Amino acid sequence: MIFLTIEKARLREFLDAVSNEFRLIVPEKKGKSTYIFKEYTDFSRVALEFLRTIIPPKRFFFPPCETLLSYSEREGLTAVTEDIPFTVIFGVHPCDLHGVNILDRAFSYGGRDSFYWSRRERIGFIGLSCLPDRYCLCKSMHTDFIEDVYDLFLYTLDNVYMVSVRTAFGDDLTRLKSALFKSPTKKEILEYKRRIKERDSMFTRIMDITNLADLLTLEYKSEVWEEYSRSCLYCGSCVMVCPTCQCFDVYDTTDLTEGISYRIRRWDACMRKDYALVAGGHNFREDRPSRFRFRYLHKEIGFAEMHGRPTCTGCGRCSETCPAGIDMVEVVRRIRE
Amino acid sequence: MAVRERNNIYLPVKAEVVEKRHLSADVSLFTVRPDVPFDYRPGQFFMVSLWGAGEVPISVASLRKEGAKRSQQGGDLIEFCIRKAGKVTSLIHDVEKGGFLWIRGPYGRSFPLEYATGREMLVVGGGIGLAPLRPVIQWALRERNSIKKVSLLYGARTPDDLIFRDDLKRWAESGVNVVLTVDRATDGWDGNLGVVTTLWHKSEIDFREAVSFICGPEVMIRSAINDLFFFGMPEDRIITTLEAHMKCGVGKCGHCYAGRLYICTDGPVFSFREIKEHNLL
Repeated sequence: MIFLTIEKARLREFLDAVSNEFRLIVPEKKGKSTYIFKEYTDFSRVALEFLRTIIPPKRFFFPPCETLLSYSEREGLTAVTEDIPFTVIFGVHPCDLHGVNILDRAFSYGGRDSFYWSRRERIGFIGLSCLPDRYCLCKSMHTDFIEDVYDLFLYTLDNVYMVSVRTAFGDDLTRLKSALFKSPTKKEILEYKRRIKERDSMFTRIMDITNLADLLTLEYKSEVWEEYSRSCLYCGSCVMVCPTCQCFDVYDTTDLTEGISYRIRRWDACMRKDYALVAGGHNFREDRPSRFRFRYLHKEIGFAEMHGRPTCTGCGRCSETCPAGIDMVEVVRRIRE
Repeated sequence: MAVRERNNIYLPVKAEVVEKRHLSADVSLFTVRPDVPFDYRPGQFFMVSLWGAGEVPISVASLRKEGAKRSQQGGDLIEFCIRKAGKVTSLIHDVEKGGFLWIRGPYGRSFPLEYATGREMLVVGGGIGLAPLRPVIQWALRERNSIKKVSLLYGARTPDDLIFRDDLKRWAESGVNVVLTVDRATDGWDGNLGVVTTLWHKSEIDFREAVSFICGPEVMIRSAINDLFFFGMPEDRIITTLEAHMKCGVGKCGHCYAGRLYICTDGPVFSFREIKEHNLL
């Protein structure tokens, strides 16, 4: 890993250079306090101090709806893999980079998913440091810092960004405009250290995850699930905004005039009633409490036992988005009581 | 741009329906010849699809012939026993001999048949649950010298719902202790009445020594494994296969998650020990 610095005032030149070579995706302000990832048009539109985008970056390599296969008598069977231009996503926070890492594992388990990886392999990441708000939970989930996945990571200092170059591709990116990058000075290193400490003290939201898997197992029949299942609307918003929710549905449609059938996959949500319904009418999780509980058990135990870490990245999107005001931290606190 | 990738795990293979046999009012046996050969074992399943209808997980109902020839015309025959239960399976039922299904697989863990070597084998089935057990019995008959005894307890709703009736007769003639039962008798039925788990005394099996393979509705599986464990069968030798909603078959779509396991990749075959350990039933 190499460390460089770039003057804040010259970031525009760098992003312009990147967007000349690659498709560049950046965070932009959408509503009063909402942000989205969008194609780069002009540097003045880039949100440099933002918290979370509404939808995590997963939609660029795991789109909400995509055609997998097509079939017609004439053309036969075709795998529809989109040839996306090489893309750089700028401004990805540590929590979302952890989310990418989790999806990478999920879509490699049990055989490589060609549709996921055909896009994912053509995406590079420029991370950006952030300061927590009242929903940020990354410190508790140990995802407030990232040392993998990204190609470049920019730490905001007073006048410069401290740039961590993680990959060969990241190195290539800096060489697009190498005159912009310098070696960090002693003063900048000190400032970097001070900033880390400051940020660390800014977290107000703490979720105690000590022995959480055990507690969730012990409280499997807790009335807390029943209670929350009465206010949950089962709308699936928390799933749609989650950087690590991977579940999908697969279904066929036919274009009758063209005589082509398509096999399509789209995001699915485990709290939907027919999620675990099998032919013949048996439903493995029919009642509301077990559907509410399942998401917690999968995120904190199921995935952890398969891949060695829980899938929550502490990004805070689910708590911020829930129309019923259900807060994961509160649910876990109740289980812990 | 569309590109064809050869190692894409979602690409199905065309399979011609060479025979379609009605086994009961809503169950048919499809014998297919896929374009390429597949190696599969009892207990494994395929994702079977029909374009425009969708994909469903179906377990194999046939035993792959040992050393089957891989002819240039394609693979050897595979049989799928399919019940008209939902939208996709109803549309598949409209496919006749000469038509095509699309298959990918095999997926999942197979029955640990080797557990039966040198032991008695008890097979317990309910309804269409006999389908994945059929290759188990076929295997046992092929390996009859190394298996002490084979006993089959099989139940269905009515006599007409008993599937593979030709096989049942043949198996009985080959020395399998076949015990049948129905929930509701119709004219001409003078056999057993009631659920299979009332027939343990007719199995002629030494429960402590035997291995059991079970498949059927969840209630049946639940009471069968509890009874067998109570009779002293070790929990590692009580083997069942579980059903789940599946969309991918390859451990990604999330629908068949159960605890830390995917039914599709870690199962669908589980021992009673695993079922208890992971709270699967």
